Amino acid sequence: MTNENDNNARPRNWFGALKWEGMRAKDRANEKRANSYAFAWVGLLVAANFLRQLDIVPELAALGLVLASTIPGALFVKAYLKMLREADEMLRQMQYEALAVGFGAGALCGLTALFLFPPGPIWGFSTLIPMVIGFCVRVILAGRKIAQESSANEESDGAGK
Amino acid sequence: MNNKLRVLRAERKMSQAELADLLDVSRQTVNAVEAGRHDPSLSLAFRFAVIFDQPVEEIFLGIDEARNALQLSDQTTDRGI
Repeated sequence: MTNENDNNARPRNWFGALKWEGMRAKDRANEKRANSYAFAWVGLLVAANFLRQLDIVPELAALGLVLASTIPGALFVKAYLKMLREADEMLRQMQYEALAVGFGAGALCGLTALFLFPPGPIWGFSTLIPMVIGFCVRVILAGRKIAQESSANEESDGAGK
Repeated sequence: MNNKLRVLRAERKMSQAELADLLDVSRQTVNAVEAGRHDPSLSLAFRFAVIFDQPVEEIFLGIDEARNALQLSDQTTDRGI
């Protein structure tokens, strides 16, 4: 048997479910890579916005920072696609469903806001924020459900070591 | 989808984790397939078949259901469907 998988570990709490114990080492590495790019992307965007508001760097430099953030952004998309392609079947299904929920929540709230509010930044936020929240909530709930069912079955099975 | 993975695994005294390692999937995937909550991909179904040295249809349908499926297949072939 290989020791690459963390298959014997069982989730005992919310944090365990979030980590999705039992993930393959390859999936964990792919997820880490995608997360790193995502954090770099968001970090650069936040930093650029912060610098623009403080007005301590030339406008052009702040805009350059915003444009530079597209590099980790594009790398994130590439890493996420690689993660999906190589993912374990259950993990992939979970991600697809979360993407569908995120897209649906974003479209639902965005289109509603489109007819409720006059043109403005709220149009963008009302799409983006529900999209991200919908995706994250779905991943957390699905991960927790799978981990709980899996843990319960393995324990009652008696074959687990 | 019905299957007899749990029985086959028990006969070989394997844990889900060990089987998952052999199949290169997570233990959760093995668990969900065994419990019938997740239909495996074709590739994974064939890997199960190789490990347990049994045809896919016997593992996932049971022999009676497999026979019924084959008869149905013969009937549709006879009718030219």
